[in-house]
Amino acid sequence: MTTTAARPSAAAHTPQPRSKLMDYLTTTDHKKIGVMYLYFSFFAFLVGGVLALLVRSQLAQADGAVFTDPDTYNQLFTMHATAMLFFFIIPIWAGFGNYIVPLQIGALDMAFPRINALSFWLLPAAFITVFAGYLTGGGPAEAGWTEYPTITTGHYAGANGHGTDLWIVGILLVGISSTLGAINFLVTVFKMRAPGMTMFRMPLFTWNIVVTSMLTALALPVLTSALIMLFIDRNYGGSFYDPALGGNAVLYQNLFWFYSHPAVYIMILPAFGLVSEVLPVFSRKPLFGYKAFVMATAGIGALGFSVWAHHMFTTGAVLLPFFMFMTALIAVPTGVKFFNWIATLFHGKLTFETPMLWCLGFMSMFLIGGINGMFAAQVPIDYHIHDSYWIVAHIHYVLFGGSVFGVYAAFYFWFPKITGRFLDEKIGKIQFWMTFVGFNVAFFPMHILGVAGMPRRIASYTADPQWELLNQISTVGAFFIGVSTLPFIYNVILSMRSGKPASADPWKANSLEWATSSPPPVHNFDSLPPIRSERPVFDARIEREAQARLAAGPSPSGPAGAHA
Amino acid sequence: MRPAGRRLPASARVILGLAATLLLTGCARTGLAEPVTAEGKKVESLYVVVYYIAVLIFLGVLGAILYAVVRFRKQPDDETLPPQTHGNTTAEVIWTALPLIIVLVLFAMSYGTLRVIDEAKPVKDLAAVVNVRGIQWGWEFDYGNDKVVSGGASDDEPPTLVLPVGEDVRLVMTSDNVIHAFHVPNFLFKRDIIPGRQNQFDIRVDIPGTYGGQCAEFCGTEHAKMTFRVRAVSRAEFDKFVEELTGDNCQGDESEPSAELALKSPNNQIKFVDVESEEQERCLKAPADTPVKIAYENGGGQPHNVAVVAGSPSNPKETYLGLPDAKVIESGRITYDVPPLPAGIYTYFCQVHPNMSGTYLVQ
Amino acid sequence: MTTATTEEIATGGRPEGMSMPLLGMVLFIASEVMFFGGLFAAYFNIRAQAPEWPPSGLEHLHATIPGFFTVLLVLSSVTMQMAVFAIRRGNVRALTRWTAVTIALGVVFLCGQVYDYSTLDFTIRDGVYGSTFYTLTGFHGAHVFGGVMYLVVVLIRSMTGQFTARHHAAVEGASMYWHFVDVVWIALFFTLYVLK
Ligand code: HEA
Ligand code: HEA
Ligand code: CUA
Ligand SMILES: [Cu+2]
Repeated sequence: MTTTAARPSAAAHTPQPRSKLMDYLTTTDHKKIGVMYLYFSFFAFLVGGVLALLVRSQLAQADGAVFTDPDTYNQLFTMHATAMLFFFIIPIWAGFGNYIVPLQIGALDMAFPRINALSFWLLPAAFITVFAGYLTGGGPAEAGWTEYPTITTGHYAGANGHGTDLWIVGILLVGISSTLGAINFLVTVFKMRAPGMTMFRMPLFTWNIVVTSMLTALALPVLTSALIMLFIDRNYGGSFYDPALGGNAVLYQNLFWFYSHPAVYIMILPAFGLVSEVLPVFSRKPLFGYKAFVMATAGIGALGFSVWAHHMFTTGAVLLPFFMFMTALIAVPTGVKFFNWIATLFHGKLTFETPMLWCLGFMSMFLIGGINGMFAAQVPIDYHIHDSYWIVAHIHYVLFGGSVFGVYAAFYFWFPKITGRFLDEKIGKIQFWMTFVGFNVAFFPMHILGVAGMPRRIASYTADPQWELLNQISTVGAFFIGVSTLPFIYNVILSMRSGKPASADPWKANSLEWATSSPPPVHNFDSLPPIRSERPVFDARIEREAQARLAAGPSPSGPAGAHA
Repeated sequence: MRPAGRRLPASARVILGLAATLLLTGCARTGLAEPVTAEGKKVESLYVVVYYIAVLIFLGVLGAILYAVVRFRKQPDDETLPPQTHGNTTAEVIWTALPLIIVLVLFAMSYGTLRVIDEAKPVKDLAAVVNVRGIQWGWEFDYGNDKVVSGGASDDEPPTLVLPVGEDVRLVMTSDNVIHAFHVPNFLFKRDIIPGRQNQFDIRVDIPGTYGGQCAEFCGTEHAKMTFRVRAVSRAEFDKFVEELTGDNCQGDESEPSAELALKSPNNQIKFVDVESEEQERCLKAPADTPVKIAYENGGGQPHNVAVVAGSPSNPKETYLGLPDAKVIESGRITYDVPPLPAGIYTYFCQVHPNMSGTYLVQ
Repeated sequence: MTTATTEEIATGGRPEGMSMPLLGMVLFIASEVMFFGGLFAAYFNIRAQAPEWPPSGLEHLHATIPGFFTVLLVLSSVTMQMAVFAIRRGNVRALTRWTAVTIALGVVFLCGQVYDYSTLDFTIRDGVYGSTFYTLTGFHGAHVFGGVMYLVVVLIRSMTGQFTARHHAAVEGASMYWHFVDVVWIALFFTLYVLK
């Protein structure tokens, strides 16, 4: 017996019975807040997805006959990206982070539980603010998720209305939420690690949340400043971005991407972390090159600050060789991660439960997204493919094939921990293969459209039969992804009620969240195993097994290659 | 008994093999617009090389993943742990160095291509300088001397930019309202058109023909309809086209001819404006057979001069005022002397920025 | 072999170094630095491309009166630090006194700012000069205002005896924030009023 159970005083008094709803509305428990994040952001995913399906419907025909007013279409893709980026993919990782990070480092809660609740509640408020644009006369924001001036400073009737102002205010709220959340994560990780949990024993998911939080804390305020200046230009007669009055339109782009490039790593790093957790578990090996992973993560974070202008190659206003080189350089730390992942698989004993499937899907699809990003990083090629459907393909291979696959992996991996029940494996596999196929059908043709010259953000296009065919294939794929979402929703509803019950450590995993019951008690841990490596739960399991064998009588051989 | 895991390699190998042959046998250009410019050809060669590198990396990495998936499956009854390897420094160094080398090679190639396609040609070697103005939502192609072709989303036919083949031309891009982007897929090139900023690039169209183009930067409601065409024709045909374009800035200009003319360029701007109204000056009227003085004020920031020619800036037939007499000044004032000229339509322009031009009408 | 109990976890594994609220404040200030960094970047970008600065028709800002208020703000940083030293010694009365003085100086500074605004003959609508000036000083002013509010809370808690030599993270945090606001102002003062 290596763990001693301590009777925690915190758990001694049971909370008075309250309605479950009130409980969630007023909670400061990181796990409940995490769950609310998950519900909220998955809801945003469905909203963004429905908007995407409307986008695809419009593009199924060259003349774009579904929404005859192009502005309606412009609103669709703007709000699609807004929902997906600001209300789905960023918050959902904050949600998993909230639930999992304190568990992984053996803490009882986040550092500032009330600020944590505030971070969450700002999000629905922001969502309502942004989508309230649909209730204003002029409709919601419609200048793309980038909201570049000068279309947003008085030169485009569609963006002059209150919809865009609401968008700005809403995103500022998201910004406050993320910044507070990031600070919370950092303080939690720096100050609340359990005894023995040194920085270099932290699970990689936690490490990635740390780097993500650094990026958020340092880059997001710059977006805040850019948006505030935009708001001043729009509403108080400022002229930051108006060249006619001495301002500079490109200034906004610099500030915007100074945040929004690091932001794409905010969206992918947690997924990298998750993959680095799942692969070892289902390969039954430790992560290959733990330290290299930490370095690579930090490297990606640091380099992320010096590449923003790769979104502005065609402006003619940026230092091309520098940004081209720095951008391509990010392939190196990312490559280190890839090769270490593969080395983790090698000589393992792999099984293919759904979390593992999603992670393997992640690796192959993000690979395409990273490589097609490398095309865009080469300035001469970007001159051709910038603002074309190639970039739309890139966006979705990294964000859907990467981040969203990672999100699904996280759902399947941690669902047993969060609910105490497994998601159904069979439905999970069906969903994986449907999504995988639909995803490639929807987004692969966009590469061809891109190099053929189809620009993004257009409500209708040249009636070239090849373009139309490729777009139709893409639309079919999109609807197939939509359908593939249904088994997941069904699976969640079904499994929450009658899924297979899960033990504390159902996957035979490594990190501390598996050292407590599923779901964990309010106070997280009754006891912690000793932490002597980055795999405390593995160590404890091996020791337990060894002692069990010892108790059962002498055995000829110990566990093969057990980690000492 | 064949272990369950070993049946997949065959199919995996088939898939991989198929993919490899498909990808390596010339589908690099799939969909890629046919380049018709000298610069586009360069971009295409770069694209193809990058494409092959990309395919190799993709197949290599994906192959390794698939190999692991197939080769290292857990056998159903095997409950022992595999060797618990934690890492390997040599391997780590190798797979840091390998991508780094690829990145350096890519950089060298791309930078080489970039220097060629972004190179600005000497003004004297240019066959034409065309001012491209992006408007919401349409285009103005200005050949100087107010010879302008324009059109937009509300027209039946998109406006056409006519260019000579086989010779370098410069496209100078300005916008008064929002950001647009000039994009011709067959040029494999685009450049943003940004208010408050003058972007330009030089290209050489090598293959005659008509090519579609389209605004590539989201610019509002009719962004999708902001199309145009490029028609590349022989030099002779091009000259004839420009010649025949009616362009007289002085139509509708009520001012009287004067022997004492004045012009100004505001700080850091590439245009001539009227000294009083500060509006863009497109027409100067001078009396026939009289020496004329042009008082010119440069607001600084950009070097300019004033030249007067018969013909167009890119194709002057006779130069009456020009370098070296018409000194280029960085800022300040200068007076230029124009010799007496017979009545007719002439052009004045800045020899540093040939797209800064207007009509010099002698009456 | 060590085994952590819930009590150990609850106290947090890491008592060494900064306290949690203070670390939170440091990170918050880091993000605030980036926020002002964005505004300053905009300012210098716009100023660098302007043909003349200030634009014709406007005089260079007079530095005397704002200079006086700058001195007051720097002084308030000193008084704030005195408050911190006081509570570190456990002197609650001195803490109350110094905090009150700091608040007073902060309020005077804000009044000075409003006065300064009233003397200027340009507004936020008057081109980039006005936009940058009012945005930068306005957001700084808002931060001073926020700092004053924070200090008022500290003052109340100080008067109700909630701080001791050992437990006064809020005071340390307030002081750190106040110094930050002060430093931003010094940078602003030199860029806006002094730099030619
Ligand atoms: C999750 C989000 C995410 C991620 C991770 C990335 C990652 C990368 N992105 Fe992407 N990007 C976006 C989201 C993301 N991007 C979005 C949303 C946009 C569009 C925004 C808009 O305009 O709306 C965009 C746009 C964008 C552009 C601008 C294109 C344009 O508008 O013209 C560029 C240009 O350089 C670029 C490049 C890259 C590169 C080089 C990487 C690299 O980090 C990728 C590195 C990974 C690999 C290369 C694969 C693994 C590596 C190996 C196996 C090693 C060996 C490989 C080599 C040596 C090549 N991205
Ligand atoms: C995480 C980010 C993310 C995700 C997941 C997606 C997902 C999808 N995106 Fe998105 N997209 C972006 C981020 C993302 N996108 C960004 C940043 C842009 C750039 C925007 C800009 O230019 O400003 C963009 C732009 C963009 C375009 C280009 C628009 C244009 O330029 O004109 C297109 C076009 O096809 C598209 C399509 C899709 C599709 C089909 C999906 C699909 O994967 C969606 C799948 C569908 C669902 C998941 C819906 C499931 C729901 C149901 C089936 C209904 C069930 C309902 C209930 C139960 C109530 N996207
Ligand atoms: Cu002009 Cu898009
Ligand atoms: Cu980027």
